[in-house]
Amino acid sequence: MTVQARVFRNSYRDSVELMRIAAEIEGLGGITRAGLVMATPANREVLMEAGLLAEAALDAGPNDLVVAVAADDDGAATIALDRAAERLSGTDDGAPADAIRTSWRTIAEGVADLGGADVALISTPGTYATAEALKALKRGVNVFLFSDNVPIEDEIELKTLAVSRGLLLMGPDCGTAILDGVPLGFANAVRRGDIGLIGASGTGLQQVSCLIDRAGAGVSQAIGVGGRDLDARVGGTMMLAALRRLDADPGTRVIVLISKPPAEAVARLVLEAAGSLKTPVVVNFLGGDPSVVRASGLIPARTFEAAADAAAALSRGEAISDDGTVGPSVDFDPFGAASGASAPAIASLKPGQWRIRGLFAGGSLSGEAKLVLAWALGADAAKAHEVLDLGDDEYTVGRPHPMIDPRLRNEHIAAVADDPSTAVILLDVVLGYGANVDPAGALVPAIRDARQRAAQAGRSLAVVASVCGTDADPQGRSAQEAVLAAAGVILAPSNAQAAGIAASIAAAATGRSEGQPRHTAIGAAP
Amino acid sequence: MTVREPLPTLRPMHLTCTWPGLLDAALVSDAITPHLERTEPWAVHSMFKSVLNLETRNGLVTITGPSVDLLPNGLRISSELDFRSTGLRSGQLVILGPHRIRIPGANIEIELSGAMPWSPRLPVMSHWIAQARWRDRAADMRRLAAAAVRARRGAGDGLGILIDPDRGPLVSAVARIAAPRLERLALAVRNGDPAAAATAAESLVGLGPGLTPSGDDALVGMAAALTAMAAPGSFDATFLGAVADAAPTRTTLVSATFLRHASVGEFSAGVHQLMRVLIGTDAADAQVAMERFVAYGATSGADTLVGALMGLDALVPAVRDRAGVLGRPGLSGAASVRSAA
Repeated sequence: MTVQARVFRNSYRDSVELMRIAAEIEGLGGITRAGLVMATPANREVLMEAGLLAEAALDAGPNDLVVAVAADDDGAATIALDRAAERLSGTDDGAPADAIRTSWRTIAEGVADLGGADVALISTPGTYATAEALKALKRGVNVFLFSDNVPIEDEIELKTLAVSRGLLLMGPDCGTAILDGVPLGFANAVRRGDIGLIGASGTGLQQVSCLIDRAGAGVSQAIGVGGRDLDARVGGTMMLAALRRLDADPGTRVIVLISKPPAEAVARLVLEAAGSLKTPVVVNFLGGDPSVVRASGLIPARTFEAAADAAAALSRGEAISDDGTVGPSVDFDPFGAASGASAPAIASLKPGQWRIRGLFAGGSLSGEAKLVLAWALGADAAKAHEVLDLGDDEYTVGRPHPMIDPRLRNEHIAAVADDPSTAVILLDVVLGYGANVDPAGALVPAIRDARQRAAQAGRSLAVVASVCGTDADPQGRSAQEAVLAAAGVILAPSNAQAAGIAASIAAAATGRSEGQPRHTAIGAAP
Repeated sequence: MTVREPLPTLRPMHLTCTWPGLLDAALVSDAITPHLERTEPWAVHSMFKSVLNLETRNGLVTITGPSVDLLPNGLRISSELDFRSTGLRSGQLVILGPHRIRIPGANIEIELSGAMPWSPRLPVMSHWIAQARWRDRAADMRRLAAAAVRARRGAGDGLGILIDPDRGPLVSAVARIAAPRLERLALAVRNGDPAAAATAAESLVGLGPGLTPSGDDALVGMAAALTAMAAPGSFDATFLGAVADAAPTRTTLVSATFLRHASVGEFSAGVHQLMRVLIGTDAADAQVAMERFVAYGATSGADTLVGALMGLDALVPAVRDRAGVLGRPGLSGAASVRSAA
């Protein structure tokens, strides 16, 4: 018989957990007694009475944890103490030892336990993210890096390592991906299919994937690369790597690239690479020059909707000519769908109401709306309107993202309702995993309140929105649209069309009052 | 693509946290408000699922999620957070600013300006007890407590077993050692002997498993009874201050913090409700309340309950005597403990 102990200095563990560990090691072969207690003077007395006060525990203090065992021999004691140490080193989630574990303390543990896991999702604070991502990449695991605040130097290092190992480093600040049908981050439940998406834009990926779903096609993979990937310093490293991956993927027959216009050198690199693939590529560089895309033999799409329609057509085997004149329109007429929907709203506006107030949760959706307003109203006139990306750091410092928490946007809705120049409130409603469980329901009270405040001041307000989501999403697109429609919201099938409707209302308000901008470019996009 | 078919661990609905994380404090204990106005830095002490302990010069301040009982040293945030997976590490610097607690190493900030104050001070309830027929009520309460503890049996070797009249011999070393010490404490309280009470109480500090050893939890229960039964001329409970002063070298910092608060009449919201249920001023179903209380921690709830019952048994007769209501002090409360010795 031997008594041995090990001391874990300043170790604080839940007592339920300590008891479970005690029971586990007491059940090991050759162990007659085990105790796990804080080494207070009173507990050292208890250990003494129980015959468990080993020498190692004598100098432990009240904030140290002592594991003591009485065992048949030294070997059994060591095994038991090692087991206790192992249990104490893990983050214990209260699951019994034989249950399927759903969290691990380290990437190595997770990879070892799951046997073949090849994606790690990292959402630690930025300070720790690089180290974790490096560990994953070094183990041959692809990384979805949700964390932001990762220095660009780290991003370059991580992406260089990933490429050298044939891995993907999605991010940093990557909000969206769908890998083999599994949504990561903020993503929607879209049909599986043969269209592969690569995006440096989270809500852009969401909008395109949802519109592809609505067009009856499906997504093979949606790979987010992080908003800085097409920065000149990063050089589109991951977009290029993802292009090669999707080109080699037998499940992908069409590729869509989504980004803000990249730095010129990067754009050239990406377009050259895309042009050399055997898979057709639709390019949506929001606000970029379509002729540059066309010159590379690729299909330019000016909006997310146009990109989705073009990709769906290609997926169905329909032809699209380089200039987009055959098949679905890959260009965009901002007033195309607007006239019928906006007429009643225009009729009820009062003189002095002319301004569009875009209050967006999705950054890329707000970017697209600004472009549509510029195409529709002329760049100068569009500047007089206001489109806010409420998910931008400027607004979210210290607050949850508006896709999760509606309060920030609701406060803005109340504020713009009180402005007598407001004619239209333009909104995006983003569904999917990670988003608010009922975004429409959270918006409607604020919309009703805004309308009421405007009515008290003798005005009416037009509210225009699009829902980015699918019926398979947890929130259900149709149900969300029904809630908004019941509150009198004018609904458009896409974000671009919603912006078009808002523009048509603002354009019609021209001339009703003094002091508003004259809209000069009413009509199709240039 | 080499990405495989759906991985069982992907739970994207959980990805609702962005960094830096700003947490809103919803409730803050009056007892720690003065500490929040100081400027000396604190340090991260320990993290649990919904509990984050921060070490200050005056003991621990505990940040908890809404699912955790309000603590006398506590600050409750408005949303649940698993503090073990937030980049927090023991020893990290904690900086106090105007209306904010910041932990730069983990990019966590807690906004205090919207927090409602909560008082951990347990009110005096002695004026209720003459009407409450404690002798009858005590038997009922002990029966319910014993049933609640029995239902939790297997949850560890705390002191709860001492309540059970049908228990067998004491197997647990902790209970065997604690039982006579508890009895000495109860006797000292009943006899109005602060010196003997202090000696007995000190012998219980740091005794038993867990972050708040059973002996400490029982002392918190006893302190709650002493606070609730305070009355002009009643037993002098200041001996608890001396016990709390000695606690940092005799028990864990977590437990020493609770003993410090208990010594000045400050307790968790759970203890407040326990005392109301025991004395009968709370309409809650006593059995449900007791079961819920006994479920705190591995043995903490049961251990505190033992202390509170013993305290009431020791104190109520004295209160009634002074009130001239029921005559001789009952000894019913001591019976179970005496048989445990």
